Parts: sequence; structure tokens; C-alpha cells
Amino acid sequence: MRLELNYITINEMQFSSMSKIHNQTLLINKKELEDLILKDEHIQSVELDIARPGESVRITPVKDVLEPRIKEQSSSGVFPGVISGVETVGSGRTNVLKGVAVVTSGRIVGFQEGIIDMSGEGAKYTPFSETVNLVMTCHCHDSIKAHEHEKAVRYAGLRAAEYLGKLSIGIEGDSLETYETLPLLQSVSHYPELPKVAYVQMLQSQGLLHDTYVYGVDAKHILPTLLYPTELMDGAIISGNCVSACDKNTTYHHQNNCVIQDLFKQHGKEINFVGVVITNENVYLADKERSSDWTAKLVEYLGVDGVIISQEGFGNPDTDLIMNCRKIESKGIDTVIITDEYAGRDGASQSLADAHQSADAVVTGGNANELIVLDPMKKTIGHIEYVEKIAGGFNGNINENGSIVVELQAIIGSTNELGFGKLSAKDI
Amino acid sequence: MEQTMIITNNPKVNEKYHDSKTVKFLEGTYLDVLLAARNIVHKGGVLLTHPLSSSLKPNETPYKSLLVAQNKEEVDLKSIDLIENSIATAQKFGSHPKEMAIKKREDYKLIDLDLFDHVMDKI
Repeated sequence: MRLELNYITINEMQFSSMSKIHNQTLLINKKELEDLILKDEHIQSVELDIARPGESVRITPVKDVLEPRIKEQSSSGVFPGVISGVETVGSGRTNVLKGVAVVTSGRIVGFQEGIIDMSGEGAKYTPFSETVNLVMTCHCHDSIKAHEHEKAVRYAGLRAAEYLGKLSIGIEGDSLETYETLPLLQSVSHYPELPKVAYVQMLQSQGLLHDTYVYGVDAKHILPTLLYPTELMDGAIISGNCVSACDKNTTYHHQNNCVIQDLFKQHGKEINFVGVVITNENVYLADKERSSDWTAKLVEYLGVDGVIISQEGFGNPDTDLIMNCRKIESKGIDTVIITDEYAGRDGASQSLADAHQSADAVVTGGNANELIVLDPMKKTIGHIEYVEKIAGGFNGNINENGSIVVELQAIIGSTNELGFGKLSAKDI
Repeated sequence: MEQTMIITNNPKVNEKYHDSKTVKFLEGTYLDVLLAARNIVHKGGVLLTHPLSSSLKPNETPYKSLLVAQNKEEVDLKSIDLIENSIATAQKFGSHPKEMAIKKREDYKLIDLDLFDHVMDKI
């Protein structure tokens, strides 16, 4: 399966009388986009704002972040099984508006998560301080149930990302990248001397505000399955997950999965990257046993020498992570796990809620309990009153000068477990 | 079918299941639910659900519901390991704020119920 990503660089975003891309500027007809979003009967009103890198702007609470894309001349569409047909993605050409993101916000439940600061100290910890963001704050009718509310905002983000992506149809990008994975037996015979590596991606799937969708299917109902890597790069997986801000994978993370990108970089050189297994993270312990059994069985069937496993979330999913690691290692296959830590504000506590001696190669996204001070911002998009109530915030954490003390876990993507972040043991 | 028991401090879970299932309802904290589960596990109970809630931390949500199977003849070492690790994690995080807006409290109840419903659909 072969995918071409046609990158169209966008440096600026403005509201305009007509939606189009001109000189690397994304012009948006506000009314047209609002009308599209308001076609959903559950959404009463929507506010559109633009937040640029370097501006004194705080966005909170953030629900999802998405990258505008569109598939050209293809029978399949972006976000298959959700706002497009269910046809398989991952091949053909997909236009990517690089440098911009759609950020969805809005009140769903009484506790909310996620801060993006566009400048100051907080900006250092989130990758979305570097994108020009179209922020959509959706307001739903008071009578709406939380499930419907989450779904309405999720769909609003997807529709906006597709709407903006369509503006790139016919535009030749600044760069074109091609990714290809051969059918397994061909791939193995193509690089007989290289160690075979698979990627196991764990998806948060426990229930309300904790869900992920695969071709539109609620991931809690899947058995672990095989995907071509390019399917993930092409919108096969979307986020309905609202917790935790620091280590959830937004839809943008799925679209730009850096584990897959890095494995592709080494493909044919140091390793033979043969494919992806996706699995879920459920509440019922029998489900955890079944899914980890199946994950280990599938990677054994692939005949790989090594596996990278990425987790999503903390606590309960630590058990899934360790089960996957232990069962895959027991089949004689080496693993490297990617997680993050809740090691206390001093970093001295036990990092994970589960452990096993087979987890002897671990990459961490950082300590989510670490305290940081966020500079005051001149403008807030969303609801600032949530900041002392979100995970990582606490009563009395707003100082007189307007600065805010929070744990890293309050920042979107700060300890992301794909490694899509900036934290490191050294400055990079 | 094995005999099961729900241990919860969530009134919404109690309300929904107390007529059809055995429910041990506690007027206590998240940690109290885990300690009650530990007592049952040490007497032969087997955990059927994970003692930690999703990605919500024990110092965020006040509510926790657990499902255990009762009356096993031997102590289940996996369950003991899991409940002890989870209690250690919950103690590390500490308790949630005592004062909490009603809306927020109700939403935490709803999330716990939703997560638990997905389990009850399967048994």
C-alpha cells in the first residue's frame, strides 16, 4: 500500500469573504463554516477564533486537535466510516495543510481538560503552540446528554478539518512524501537481512470521553487487528478521547503518528517495518487478557523480531501495557514500550501503576506531575474558570499577577506517549 | 454463572443495579472502595474489573465501581497483586478535593456509570 502526502505549507490564517488558499494564507469565510457546523441540530452556536504562534492567547479547555486534509481523486475519503464512506484509506494522494490545525473546545462535562498557550512558558510544552489554530468553541443545547454532546463536537471538528482540506484540491504542494508498505511476504523477502519490526498501538477505549474510533468503529468493540501503517497516517483512527490532556492522542497525533514516521525513516536501512497492530484498553479484565493475548498472537504470526508498543493514558492502561509487553516478550520477541510517568511532583514516586521485569526497554514521555508556571495571557479562548479544576490544576493555583501554576498534565500533548513532544533528558 | 458483587460508592450505579445484582454500596471515598475490595479479595474474591478508573486519577474522581466474583476456594494471587498495586497508586495520588461543584460531581458519577455499563453489558 502506497500513500503520497502532498504537503501544502500554510503560514497565516485570516477570516475573509471567501474561503481559499492564497500565498500560503488560509482564508476562511466564517459564515460559510459556521453554517456547516450549525447543520448539526445539537449545536446551538459556534464561535470561531484564530490563535497564532507567539500571540498572548490561552485556549482551554481543548477537546481535540485535527489537521485539515483531503484525499484527491480517490474513492475513499478522510476520516473513513465517520464523515466519509468506509472504503479503506492509506493509498493514493492526500493533501495536508501543514502548519495549521483545527482545535475544538466547549463545555461538555463539569470537569474539562487541556490548555494550549500560544506563547510564554506553557507554549514550550505543547506542539500546538506552533500551529496556526482555528479554534471552534461549540455551544450545545442545555438538554443535550453528555454522549451526544461529545459526538456533536467530535463531528464538528472533523467536518471543519475536511472543509478546510477541500480548499487545497488542485494545489501542488511544497513537498511530496511517499510511504509504502509491501504485503508481508514480499516485505520479508525484500529485506531478508534486516530485523523485522512491528508497531503495536494501544487505543484508549473505556467509555464516555475515553473513546477512539477505527474506521468509525468504537475501539472498545474491536479485537486487535492488523493495519498498514499508511492507513493510520490517512485518517483511519480518530479521537473521541478527552482525558488526560497530556497523554491522550488527539486526531492530529493519529494523523501524524511519529512512531510510524520514525519507523519509516529506518525502514530498509536498519529495520524492516512490516506493519501495525492496533489494540484497545478496556475496563473488564477479561477484555484486557483477550486483547493482549491476541496482540501477542498477531505479532508472533507476523514473525517479527521486535515490537514498539505505545500506550495511551495512565493508570488502568498501565495494566494493558504491561500485559502486552509481557506476553509479547514471552514469545521471544523484543519490545520497547513508550509510556509517560506520574512520579509525583518531585519525581521520586513509582512511575507506573503496573510493572514487570520484561519491560526492560522503556521510553518515557515525561513526568506529568511536574509543576510549571504559565505566564499570564492577554486573551483566553474558552473558559478560564476551569483551569483550577482540571487535572493538574488545583484550588488557589492562579497567582495575583495572573500566572498559573499547574502540573504538566494540564497541557495538551505535553507527555504524549507517541513521543510527539519536546520533553527530553537533554535540550533538543 | 459465577456469583458476582458490585462494590461502589456511586449512587447512580447503586440505583441502576441494586434490584438485579448484589451491590455493596459504600458512603465512602474512592480509596474506601478499593479497601473494601481488598477485604473481599483476601477472602477468595476475584477482581473482574480494574481497580483504577480509565485515565481519571484517584485524586480527580470521587467515584469508583468495581465488579468482583465471590466465593472462590483459593485466594487469587493476580487479584491480590492488582488491588495492592492500585491501592498504592491511589494513596500516592491522595484524595480528591472535598468541595466540588454539583455539576462536576454528577459528571464524575456519569462517567463511572458509563464505564461500568460497558462491563455489565458483557456479563
